[in-house]
Amino acid sequence: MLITTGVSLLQALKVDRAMKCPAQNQMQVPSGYGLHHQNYIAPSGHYSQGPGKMTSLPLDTQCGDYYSALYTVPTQNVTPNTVNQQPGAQQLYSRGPPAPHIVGSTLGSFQGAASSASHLHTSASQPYSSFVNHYNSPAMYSASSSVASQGFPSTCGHYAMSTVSNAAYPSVSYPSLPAGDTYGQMFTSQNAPTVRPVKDNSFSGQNTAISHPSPLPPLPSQQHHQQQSLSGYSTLTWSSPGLPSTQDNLIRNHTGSLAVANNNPTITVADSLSCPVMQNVQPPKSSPVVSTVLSGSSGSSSTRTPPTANHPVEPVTSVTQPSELLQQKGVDSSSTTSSASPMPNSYDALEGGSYPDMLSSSASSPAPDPAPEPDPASAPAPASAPAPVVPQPSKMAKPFGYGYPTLQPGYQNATAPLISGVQPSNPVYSGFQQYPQQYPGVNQLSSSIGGLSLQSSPQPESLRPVNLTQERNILPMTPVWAPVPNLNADLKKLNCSPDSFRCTLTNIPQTQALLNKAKLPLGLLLHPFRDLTQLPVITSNTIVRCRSCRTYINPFVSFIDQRRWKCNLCYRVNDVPEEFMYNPLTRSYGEPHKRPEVQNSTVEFIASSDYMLRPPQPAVYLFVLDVSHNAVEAGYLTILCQSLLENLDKLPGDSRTRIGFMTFDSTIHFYNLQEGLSQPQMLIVSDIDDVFLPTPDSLLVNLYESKELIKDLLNALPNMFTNTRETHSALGPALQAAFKLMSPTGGRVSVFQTQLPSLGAGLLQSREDPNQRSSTKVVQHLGPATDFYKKLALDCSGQQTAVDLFLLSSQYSDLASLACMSKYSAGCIYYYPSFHYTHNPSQAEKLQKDLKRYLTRKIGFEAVMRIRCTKGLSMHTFHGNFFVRSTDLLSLANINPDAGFAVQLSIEESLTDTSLVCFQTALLYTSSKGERRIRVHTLCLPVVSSLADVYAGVDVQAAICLLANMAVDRSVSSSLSDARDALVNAVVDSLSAYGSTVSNLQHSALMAPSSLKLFPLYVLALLKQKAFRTGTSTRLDDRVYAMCQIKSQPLVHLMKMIHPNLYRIDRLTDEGAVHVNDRIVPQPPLQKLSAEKLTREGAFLMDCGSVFYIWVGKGCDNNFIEDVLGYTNFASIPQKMTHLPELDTLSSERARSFITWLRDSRPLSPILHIVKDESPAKAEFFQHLIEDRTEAAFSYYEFLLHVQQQICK
Amino acid sequence: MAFTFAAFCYMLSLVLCAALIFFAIWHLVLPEYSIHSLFCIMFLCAQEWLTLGLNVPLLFYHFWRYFHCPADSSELAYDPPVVMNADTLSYCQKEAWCKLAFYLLSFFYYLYCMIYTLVSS
Repeated sequence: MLITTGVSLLQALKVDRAMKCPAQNQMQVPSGYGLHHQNYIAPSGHYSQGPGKMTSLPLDTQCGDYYSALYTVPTQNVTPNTVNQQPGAQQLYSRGPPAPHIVGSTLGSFQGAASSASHLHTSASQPYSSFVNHYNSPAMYSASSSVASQGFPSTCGHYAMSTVSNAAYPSVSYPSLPAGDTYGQMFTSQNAPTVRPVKDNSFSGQNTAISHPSPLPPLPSQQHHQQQSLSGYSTLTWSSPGLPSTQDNLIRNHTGSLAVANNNPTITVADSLSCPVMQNVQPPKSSPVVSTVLSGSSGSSSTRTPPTANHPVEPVTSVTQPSELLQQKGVDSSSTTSSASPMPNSYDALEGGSYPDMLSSSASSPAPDPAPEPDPASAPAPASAPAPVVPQPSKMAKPFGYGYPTLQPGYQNATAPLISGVQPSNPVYSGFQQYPQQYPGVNQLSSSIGGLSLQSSPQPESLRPVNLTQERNILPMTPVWAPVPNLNADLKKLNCSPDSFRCTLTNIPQTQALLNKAKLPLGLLLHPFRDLTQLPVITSNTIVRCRSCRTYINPFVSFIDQRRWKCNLCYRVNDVPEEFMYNPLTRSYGEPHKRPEVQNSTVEFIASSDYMLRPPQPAVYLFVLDVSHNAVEAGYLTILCQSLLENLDKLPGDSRTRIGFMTFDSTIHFYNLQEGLSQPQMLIVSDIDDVFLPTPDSLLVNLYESKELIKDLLNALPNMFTNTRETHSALGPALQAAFKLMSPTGGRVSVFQTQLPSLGAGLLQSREDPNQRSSTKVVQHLGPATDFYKKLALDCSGQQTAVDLFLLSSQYSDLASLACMSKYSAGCIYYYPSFHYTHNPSQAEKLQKDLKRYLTRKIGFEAVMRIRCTKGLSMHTFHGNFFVRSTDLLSLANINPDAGFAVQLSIEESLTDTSLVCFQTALLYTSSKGERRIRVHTLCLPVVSSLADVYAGVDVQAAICLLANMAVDRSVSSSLSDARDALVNAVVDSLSAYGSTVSNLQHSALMAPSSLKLFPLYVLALLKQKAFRTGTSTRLDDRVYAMCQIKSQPLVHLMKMIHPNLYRIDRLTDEGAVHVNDRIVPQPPLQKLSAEKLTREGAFLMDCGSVFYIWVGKGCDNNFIEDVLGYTNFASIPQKMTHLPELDTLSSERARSFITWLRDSRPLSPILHIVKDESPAKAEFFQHLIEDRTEAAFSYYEFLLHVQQQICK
Repeated sequence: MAFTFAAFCYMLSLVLCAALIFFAIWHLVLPEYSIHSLFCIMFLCAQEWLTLGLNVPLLFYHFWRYFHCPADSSELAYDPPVVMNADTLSYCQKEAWCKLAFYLLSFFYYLYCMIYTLVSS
């Protein structure tokens, strides 16, 4: 590799920088790359000839031109997309089973909830009204088909035809509904169920289910993930364990319906697509600075593929795929109407403000009493299903007024998996199978249900007092699911999935006083951009929103009559627009309550130009890479470039996607990748005090036009700096340059850093005193040392640029300061301590996997998120990575599917005149396809007035995650010991408040309601977490990274980090196994995190979220070692082992399928460490055994005694 | 009746106080702090001990705010990422209301003092 003229250019640039333009310096100094340092440092006179040859290119005008150039190009519809897409959809579709009734069901389920449902019901000749969540319908079909054929084939055949013909709407005339179906009826007037026997039978069905001994399956693979996504499916496939054959059907149903879902948005005619194609845009030619030849390959290939919007998207996890498909589909087919409304001048105005003038809230609540639903059949279902919003067919068949011998079902849900470890495996199915024909209308039930209140039952299960010090096995055998809000059946079905939206208290206290009495944190945990497999995408000219508080119409609004609806957040009565009267799914008029917006609590709107401040930005990715000696030594460049090369085609984006690279050591290197060059050019700027961009318009280039150059660069990069002797790192100036480069468009900057920045702005000193690592006293330096990174992040955020930090360091690199660049720009942080590509292969593998996910996952640009809640509640503190633009508006330069948020709430006004509160998050973003979209989640929760009810509804996991977030804030703003005290106090206060108010039992014992029984355990786990522990040696960066993760991880991942799951895996059996994709996945019970559970004869798997440990005991059965690990005996197992070999034995198969299944349930593939009992690495494993005593911390029992002591004080 | 330095101080503070009222409303922090310190120095020079005594607590509060800024750069008195949190926001609002009241009262107090010094001397 020869670098000929590059050296001279650097100097030229430096000299000419006042002109803001690089010169064409043709100095011919052939020199080896390694020489360039010496060369460019030498200033020489002849560079001054530069200006003469310079073409004047004022930087600013170019930047200004960017948009006009980009966006005024005649729009070219991305039609190939559609064409290519269609076969895809078909293909997906054709995977469905050939049986016509199944086909029908899949189609029906999406094409029109109401129509399919009513078809079903007309044929079943049962009164059935429309408010069943339409995701049910597949269930009904398949279930009923498995029992008796009921003339479905004919109806379904009809559906199938409509699919094949790809008609936008099924040309089905909508069968008229039962008479009682008026709009006001939605929540209230409902008839009694018609079928009497059902209740007994469904109840018995439940009984059998409960006695089913198999343990509860936690999240299985993607298949399961899909099921989780919206609702009904989950229940159904959960029913699979015992019934593999039907599961197949169901799953196929599922895929089938996905395919149809893709067809769905085709409804609207695509007219003006707002994504212009950039081919025509030739950025103004800059002076052709031929400076540094990067690689030996000469001439860019002419066979470069033309840019197509439809580059092959092969998502990492198949979880993302369907949604991506769906997205694309939406892009292709949707149209946005260009409305003539004036352009708002701020995002605030765009997304809509909060309550300017609210109507008086004296109006009565829009929905009936949120009383528990007395349905025994439904009770165990959510326990076995991850999504508690489970529309079950059997629920419809529920009896009311039934005598319940035991517990309040709603509460049973919350705790069913907890105590006995008995598995309620498939109540729905069994219940349903027996009574496939019972479909009394849901409408008919909820009014009567509304009459029942919580107090009517003697004591709900979640309030059952548990004596914590007496209960030895407090941890349930099966994973803990989110409690189901105690709503009536309709609302339960419509409610948002707890994976996206969770509240710490599922029963909202009526007043702040009541909340204060309960001493529990009130807040929301959000995962708004989660990968979803089913997402109704709505394209309409008008997005219906409340005129006063700008709430999006949602399932929890009430329709006063056909033409008016009442907002559930501010209670204003709004008009239903004419367009909304027409339901595109059913092609019927006058049924606004059946529109998908009102049928789904998670929807996505295609936004019109009203929601844009500027034309949607293209996807822009900039990589800023540390190439100092330290970085080269660590060797991350190879992995990164390899990953990028592999995933270049899978980067989310359309034909406008742009990409750029910068590297830095003590100087900053830019890479000119302008199309037409024969080789990438390296431009070096050594003036780090006042960075400038040498050729602003050719550094970020179109991915498709310059693909060959990019590939050349990526191939060359890892070897370019091998001989570097530069140890300094000018991160600050590099970031400033990146900001300048990105500010015209916005996008994503990925920074790879391997050491403390040591030059220029933002340089940092080492602040860690290694002797203080295990100090029990003060932990200092948790906050940033300088504001540089924070300010930079805020600037970036203002220009819609997010900075993602990959810190791969072997030494202290002050993550507390560096993390600010991501925290406030809505980026994400990855940290790989002691990274080395050969010495630490597990970290290298982790980086590789993380990168794959990182590069290919969905991304949203220039996003804002607003959270609204019912009048009377108010948000007060937000947690996560973002910038708070106004009191309820979060500015997110980028949004990624792995970002979680938390919000603290307070009750400002008493909620006495309402029985339900709702929360709505609206995330407005630009998709990678250049489309403005709004994703809306709505959560509905009941309001309660008694303290007991508040305790009954605690979601302990959500509460812990919120507390952890608050504790992070506290430790930064105050001190770590304060935060730890606050955590302990949270337990002490809540348990003592419970003891003094609710439980009337003996006060000597430490009592907790069943819903809170894991609270002390989780708090102890938090205290022993890296972020908050004291007394154990913890590196400052590790601690800070743990804090960053707490702030930005969604609940599911965070919980595993706080409290890992431990399984025994040397004796896996098929008992209770679940079937996922033709694999049998064993379901070992959870073990508590204590060494007492570890036996030398066993092998244990610990799932810590981002890492798995397999601990192999000394006396472990040789059969296991041989069959699973592939070694003859314990002694021959190597110290570092990170893979299970693929052996052809039953136990190996079981172990691998279990681990794969665990892996598939999360986006980041965790690394597996096999830890021998005697190896030094076992400390890593043992530190997670949080119930045990360490030299610095309590054991669980001691902690309980401590809490008890505090309470008695 | 003589136009003393003290009277001049009061006159000037009277005018500036009006400005302060607006600065307190608009949260123009640095001008507010500097103008207020200017008064205090002038009252010190004019040996108006009572007036100085009334202003010293606020002066110290301003110093404390300035040196305990959440941001380490002087131009940011409020930390942008957290200022929108309801707790911080309500604190800042309360602070602004209190100052507004204080400046309004001191406006009339200066008016009175100015006339008093003009008349008495």
